[in-house]
Amino acid sequence: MPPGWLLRLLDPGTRRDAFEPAWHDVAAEHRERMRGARRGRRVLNRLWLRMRGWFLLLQCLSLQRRLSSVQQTSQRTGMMEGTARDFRFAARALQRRPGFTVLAAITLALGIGANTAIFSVVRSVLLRSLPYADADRLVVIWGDNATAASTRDPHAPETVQDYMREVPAVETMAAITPQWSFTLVGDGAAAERVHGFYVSGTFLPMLGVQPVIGRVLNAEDDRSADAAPVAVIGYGLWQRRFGGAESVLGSELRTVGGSATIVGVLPASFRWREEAEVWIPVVYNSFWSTGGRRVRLYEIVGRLAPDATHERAQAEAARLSARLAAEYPENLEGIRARVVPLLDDVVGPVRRALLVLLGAAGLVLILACANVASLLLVRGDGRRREVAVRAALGGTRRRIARELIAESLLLGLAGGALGMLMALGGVRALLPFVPAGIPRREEIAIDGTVLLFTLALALATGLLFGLAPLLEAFRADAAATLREGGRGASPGRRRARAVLVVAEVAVAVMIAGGASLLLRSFGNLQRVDPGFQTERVVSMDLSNLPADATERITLMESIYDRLASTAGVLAAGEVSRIPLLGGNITSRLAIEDRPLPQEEQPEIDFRRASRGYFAAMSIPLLDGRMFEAGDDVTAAPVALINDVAAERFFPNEDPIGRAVSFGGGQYLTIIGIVGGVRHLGLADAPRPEAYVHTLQGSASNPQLLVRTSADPRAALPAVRTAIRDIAPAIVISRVTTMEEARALALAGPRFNTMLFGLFAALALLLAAIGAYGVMAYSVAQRRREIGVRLSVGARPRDVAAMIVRDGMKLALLGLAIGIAGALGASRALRGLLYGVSPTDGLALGAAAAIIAVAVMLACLLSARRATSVHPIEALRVE
Amino acid sequence: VSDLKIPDLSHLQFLVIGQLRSGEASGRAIRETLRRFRVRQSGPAFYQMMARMERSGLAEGWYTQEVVEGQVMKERHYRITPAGAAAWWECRSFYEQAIAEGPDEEGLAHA
Repeated sequence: MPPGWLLRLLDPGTRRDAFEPAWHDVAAEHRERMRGARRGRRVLNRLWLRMRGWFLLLQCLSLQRRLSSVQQTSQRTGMMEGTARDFRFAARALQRRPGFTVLAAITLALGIGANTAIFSVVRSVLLRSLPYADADRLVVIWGDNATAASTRDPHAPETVQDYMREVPAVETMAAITPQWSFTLVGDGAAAERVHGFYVSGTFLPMLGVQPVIGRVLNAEDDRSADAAPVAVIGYGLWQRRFGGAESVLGSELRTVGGSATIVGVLPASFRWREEAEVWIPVVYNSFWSTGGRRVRLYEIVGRLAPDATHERAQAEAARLSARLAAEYPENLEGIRARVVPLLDDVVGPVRRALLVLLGAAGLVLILACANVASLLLVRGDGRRREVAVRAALGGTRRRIARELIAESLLLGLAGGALGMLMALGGVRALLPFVPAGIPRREEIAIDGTVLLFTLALALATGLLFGLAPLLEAFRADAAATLREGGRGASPGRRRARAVLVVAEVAVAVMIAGGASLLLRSFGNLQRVDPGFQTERVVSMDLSNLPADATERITLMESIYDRLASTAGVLAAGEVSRIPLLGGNITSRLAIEDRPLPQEEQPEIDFRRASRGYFAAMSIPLLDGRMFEAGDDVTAAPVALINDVAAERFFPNEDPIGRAVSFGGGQYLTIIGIVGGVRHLGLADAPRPEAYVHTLQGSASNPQLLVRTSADPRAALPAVRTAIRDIAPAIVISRVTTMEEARALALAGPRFNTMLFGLFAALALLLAAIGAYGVMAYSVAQRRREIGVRLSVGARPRDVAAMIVRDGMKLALLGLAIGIAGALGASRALRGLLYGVSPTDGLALGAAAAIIAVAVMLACLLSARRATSVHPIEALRVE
Repeated sequence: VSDLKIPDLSHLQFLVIGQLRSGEASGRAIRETLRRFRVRQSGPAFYQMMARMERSGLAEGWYTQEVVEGQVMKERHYRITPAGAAAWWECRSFYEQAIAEGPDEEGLAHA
């Protein structure tokens, strides 16, 4: 429905009697059309519904007017006829200059289309409220951990309870674990790995989630872990595993290691950060009762009290965290609370990239408007004589203005319609490239408000510059214009066109500069060595393994033996966290002979790995020795560290043979140094890392890596068979090749670079068209002068050089301003670049050179046209 | 013919009440009928006419409500009133009488 303030244009009677029932019909038709429609069609349908709403409003306004006095009606009919005549006249005028019309419409369409597409993404992701009740008052409390250089530290159970009690500005709070994996068994169905969260009972009611059937978790479920566990399941799991039957309520959800009674099903539309299909009260999470202040695992989400502000919540939480850090330094030293609005927390990682892209799209719109302005100014010059003739014949200012306005409006509408098609196509084309990491990806849809805004801007530009010839005709002496024959532009207009060319070149350089920087950064990222080889490696999660550690180790060893004899498998091993696939565990490092209080011990990334892991990932051994089969539970405990840890914690010392412990556990002897890997992302340098051998303590759900001799996907069936032969009950999930993981890590920068590159190409095209238009017109105006020069013996080459010189003077000024602007704006790109400075001379120089060449080509083309005419013909034009 | 009173109903109103005589109907259904008679009228214009008919006591309108996939869908329905039925009969009698008393086709042809 159109916005309420616009509906207020209707009197209450018309709104009640005419608009509302008609709107309900349109909405009902829309609903019928949406049933079973494909995604693309749904987007179109929604846009269509919005347009129908606007159209209904216009129809009602027209009805309302028709009902006013008869006299007014007759006057209006006369005016309507006049308006129709104006539009017919304008359409004919535009038809007479098809080149101009098409160029102007396409220019507008590019600006409108690009802006609408990118702003639709930005609005869907950044600006729209999250789909939760009273979402603007939801906040997240993180720990800002200076020691671990982390700004999103979760909290330990006892700390969560302190926050719940002592931060009154946040009235409701809930604790949530990170995404948890559950292996579902029983029900006669195959074992299945699903994800979910342990949450406080207050969590789902706080977000306003309504169950499809049954109930959601509530505060009663937080009372005690002694009661029988309950669970709420997701819509997909309900349909898939329970056939969508209502009898699921009260039945058991059996997982490896426990079971819970299903009490409700959540709607399909509900989402929380990551994929989740199982929701269990946090009191049943094993670390909730044992974690004390040590296990920092829980995110806190809360709702601000009605009278509280974000600042007050921050102050209260910070006070509490400072007190807790002083009371429990061994666990909480250096951790300060940080209260963040939920929307900022969800979209924070992509905010800068999207805003920079939005800025670039805005610059393209400015460029498009400048181009249309320059085209209209050129055209206006040609029409000065026509306007002067009509003014001299008694044409009123109002009448001529109406025709010019009609022309600009028609042009704007044509550009708008084309732009809308481009925006629709643009959003559809963009969607597959939107990286999976972008939050709220599924909510992205074309935005009607943006479309209207850009259209209005384009129309306003058209009107402003379209009316220029009229203003001039009435300001200047019409007789003088007629005598002059409408030739030549006034100095003011020449200056205006020169300013436009300079501005266009400057804006184009800014966009191209940004694109060039991102391109270099992307090239650097692509060349980055992650510390392991991604080719021909496939990873997978294994679950439903024996609970007993010894049995598990024996089983995994049998799997490795079988894989070793499987055709196409070169190496296989396991690790507790795979690089680039998310998730990290850190631990406090204690070094024997260097006693430090716990709070001062450095943090180190901690992994459990089998000896085959390093071979599968091709992580080199730099010193010492690798894990061996003999390094089992009966042998002395051993560890490997990476070169970064060796340099940081043992500078000028040999770490091999030194004893270290992790998180206050037993001491292990360092037996070797391996190469560092980029665990968190390609742009993040390797961090200090330690590995302990799985034979001395295995992970309950290992992540398996297999290196193959050919395409790893082709080898998968053989790998699955080998695993199932040994352990038929094992569940294999999240199968990903490391090449895919690498591509995923590059998806964000690739998306930014691609879009920026697209904008740069648009900018280049628009700037070249703009420069060509202005130069061509300027050459046409100087035809007589060129004819005289040629007839008195000037060489065509000299004339061409003169024209190019004139054009390039403007271009050089634009380049200089553009480079200065790009340097000024480059700060916005900081954080998006890798291995290249935002003020990189090479990148900006290359961008400027490309724009300069494009403008020079435009000037050369104009010059060639000017000098190809015979001097006599050039003189005869007069 | 001279003592015949011109009926109060317009052609459109005659058509609408004609349909409502066979039972209540939604606005959409009535518009569909009008379309069959090649009446092209915008939604707002149609509903404004219906509102006028309601105010004149010729028809009664009300909203029905249905929840579809969590969204409330409303639709306007109409039924004829006794006054509407009387007006329709009056209009119909007028045309029947006008046809009966008017010049026959031959007379028209010679007029």
